[in-house]
Amino acid sequence: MAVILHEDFETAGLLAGQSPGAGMTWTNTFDSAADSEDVVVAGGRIGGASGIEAGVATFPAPVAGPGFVLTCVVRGLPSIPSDGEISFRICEAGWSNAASVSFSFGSWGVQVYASTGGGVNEYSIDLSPSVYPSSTVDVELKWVYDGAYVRFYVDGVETGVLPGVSGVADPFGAFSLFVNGLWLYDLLLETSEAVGPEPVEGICSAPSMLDAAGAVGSVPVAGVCSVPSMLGTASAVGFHDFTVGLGDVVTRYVLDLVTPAGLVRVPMSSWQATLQTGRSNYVQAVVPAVGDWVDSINAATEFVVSRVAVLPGGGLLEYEMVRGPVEQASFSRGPSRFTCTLSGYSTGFAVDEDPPAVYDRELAGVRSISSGTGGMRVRSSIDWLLRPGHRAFADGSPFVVAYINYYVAVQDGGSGDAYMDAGERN
Amino acid sequence: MAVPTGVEFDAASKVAAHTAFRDLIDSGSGAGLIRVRDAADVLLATITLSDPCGSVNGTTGVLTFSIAARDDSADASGTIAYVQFCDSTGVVRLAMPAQAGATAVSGKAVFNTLSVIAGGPVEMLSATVG
Repeated sequence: MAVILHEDFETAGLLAGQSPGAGMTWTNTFDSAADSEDVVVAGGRIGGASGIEAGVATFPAPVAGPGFVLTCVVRGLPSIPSDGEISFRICEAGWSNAASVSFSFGSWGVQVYASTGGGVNEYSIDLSPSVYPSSTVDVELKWVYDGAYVRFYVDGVETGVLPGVSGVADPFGAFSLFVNGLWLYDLLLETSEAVGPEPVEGICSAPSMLDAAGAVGSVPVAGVCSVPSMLGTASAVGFHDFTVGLGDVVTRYVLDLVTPAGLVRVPMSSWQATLQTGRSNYVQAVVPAVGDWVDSINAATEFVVSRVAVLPGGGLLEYEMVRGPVEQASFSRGPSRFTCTLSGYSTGFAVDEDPPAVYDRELAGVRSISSGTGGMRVRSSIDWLLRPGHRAFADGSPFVVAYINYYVAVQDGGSGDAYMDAGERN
Repeated sequence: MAVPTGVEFDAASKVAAHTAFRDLIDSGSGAGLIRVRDAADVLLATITLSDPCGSVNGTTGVLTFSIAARDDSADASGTIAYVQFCDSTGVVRLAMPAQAGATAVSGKAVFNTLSVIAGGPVEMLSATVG
């Protein structure tokens, strides 16, 4: 895991007439306590507003480890014609008599070089001719100690190598930053510490047990992992008997075509259906004056008959009664009529010899009751909720409904005669 | 181990997760509740869960809720939008959108109708997690 530490000198500059400590404002974003990671600024002035001045800021060893980045924006002072220089000095032991290194960076002509010296290695970045009076240059220096070499990078490009000292985990230790004739601001020191091998960063997203929350982190495994909740998906089935509150509302039936473009409501003159357990359902509906609906009918995959009631409070209640696939659309044209009969078979209802009591229905408007070896058969008003597999009561006698035959004629937008035969099969 | 075709938790993990979830619903002093609401959050009906609110299958880890009592008389008329599974203090532990239908749909609370008329009974026939 990489640990990135920042010491950010925001719009700092070390202004003329101020000591570095007073002039440099900084925030330590990883640890605000005054511990060993904090920056210590000492020495003379770094930069100045009125003339070429030199100064030094001393920083502690940010952290033992292989990575260190210095990013700063360097501004040329008005009084400096064209040149500038940043120097930094490695003060710690372990760098005796290091070889000089000199390299250039891009069109800036930046040079970093080291001069030898007993125990002190000094590196300078020659910014000329890129820093003109009042101009600014962004510079990122990075040096990495891999245990054998110190590798220098300028803006990500390796620009030099110095041999390291075996066994020294952090060859830099504290270092000093020299500025000569320039003004530094927006100075950012960033260090990184690697634990174990250089990590490969990946994103791991794992939903929590309770939901699809995710965690994003930097882990030494590459890849993206996403798993569903351990809780699994919830589902529920409920039931509401709205007929209790319906009263004597007037109902009618409507026909909807299920098309790729959505539902299309078309007129209907009649419908009939047989819904049953263990056998296919059959649904049929007749569309009158079908001329305007031919295209929709041809596009339809299913048709749905719903029962509609306008509630006393003004609300509209629609309840699906039957649904069938458009397996056949028979058009019939005469001198004064043009109709289409839609029909299709659908999967029947499951047999349930002992249906839950919640579905029990008392048949209303009973017209006839017949019984025989085949079982009970009752003709009554159409029940909103009764379906095959439910239990019905007629005159107090229960029976499990095996089939329901619906017969509905629609007149003037309302219902004509409408009834159903519900029966059992023994 | 054979390559799994999808994410596979072992039964013990699922049992633990679902048991913990069940216990959250039971964490109040009384039985948990299922609240049925419309899109404007109007409470249409309240169904009472058993206490404890369900059982976790030791083999599959599926939590099956147990219903103690239906709402014999819906509080208000409206269109069901969603349901909430709450502990007895009203803390919502699970919310699900509702849709009309006849059979269970994963992630949904399916009702035979979404149109509730005040005074009519509202029941929860089954509810599971997992």
